Amino acid sequence: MPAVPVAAEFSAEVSTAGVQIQSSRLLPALFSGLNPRRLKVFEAGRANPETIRFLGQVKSRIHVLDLYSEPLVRDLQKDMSEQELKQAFQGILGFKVGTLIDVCLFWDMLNYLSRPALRAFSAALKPYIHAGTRAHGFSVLNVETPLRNQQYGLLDESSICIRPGRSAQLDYYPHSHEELNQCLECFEVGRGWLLPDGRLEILLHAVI
Amino acid sequence: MEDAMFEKRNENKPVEASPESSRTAHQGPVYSKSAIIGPGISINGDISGDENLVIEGKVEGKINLPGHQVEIGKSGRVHADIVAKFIKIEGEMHGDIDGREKVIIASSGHVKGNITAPRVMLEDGAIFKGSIDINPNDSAPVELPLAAQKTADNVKPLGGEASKKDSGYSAKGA
Repeated sequence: MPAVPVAAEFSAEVSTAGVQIQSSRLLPALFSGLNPRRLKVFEAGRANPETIRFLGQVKSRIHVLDLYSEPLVRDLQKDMSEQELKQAFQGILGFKVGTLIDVCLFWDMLNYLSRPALRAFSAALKPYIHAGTRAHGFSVLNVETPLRNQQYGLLDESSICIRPGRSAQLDYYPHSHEELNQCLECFEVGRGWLLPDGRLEILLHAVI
Repeated sequence: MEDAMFEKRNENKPVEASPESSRTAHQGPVYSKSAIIGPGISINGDISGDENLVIEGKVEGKINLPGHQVEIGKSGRVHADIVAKFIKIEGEMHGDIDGREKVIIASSGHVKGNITAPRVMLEDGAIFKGSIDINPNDSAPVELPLAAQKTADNVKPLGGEASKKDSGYSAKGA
């Protein structure tokens, strides 16, 4: 197994508002060199003030879907076939035909999807991914690692802000790097950065 | 008909109001002249006009006030597309929003729809689902400011240059 860089200088500051700020080694690479006429971003998490402020510096279209709040993700995925899941995700994504996303902010969402749900999600997302699409997320190096119930946002080009989750923790389906690559048909895990709490910050790129 | 439902208000005159309208007068944007749809009022239809609007009641239809300000107060429930210069949402809003200058979703705001505006601000706690089209002015940078690119260059790929098929990386215990 190749050595995984560990974030020795992981910094976490807590503001008076209870917002934790975490430095990120991978965010700069997520946005580096992107120069579309309009940056199109898929935010899988909840609408976040900092993310909107940061991305609002340039012409951008931010699709905020808050998958964490979807009944499909919260309760229903256990009882549905992969085909049903795909159709359900297509309905939730609801992008217009021809939409092509430049950046996906998955945060830790992928860990809350079962393997069939992850495959269905990827299949539903695939039509909106282009060869240059990049994604950011968190996985775990070891599936025994627990995940905290947290919400994430982009503070700036190298910092993530973290707030405590506002709804009940979802069922947890930790996936290894290999499993993510197998289930995510349109993405490959590229760079990774191990954080002291066992989360693995990951960058993904499209395989179209 | 619509005018009859609105309570005319001029901020230059003293306002004798319920706590609800008092909140609007003092915490919302400064309106020189605003129409108020009170909490007990429901409107089904299109609204247009030449003054600012505060909605504390229910509105279904379209709101077209491109040169003015629209505020949806905490008790406001709106199912409509809105065009206005400045839009602030403290209540519930379902529909598309075209803010010619700025859109604010307050911490108590709950919005489902698509927003287009040069500037969009969310307060912590705001709930939003949909798309946000931000068109900052022409002097805005075309790329996001990235001061720390060299940092990312130091990060090694997990699986080296291995392809998806033959990635050498595996997570122990996974």
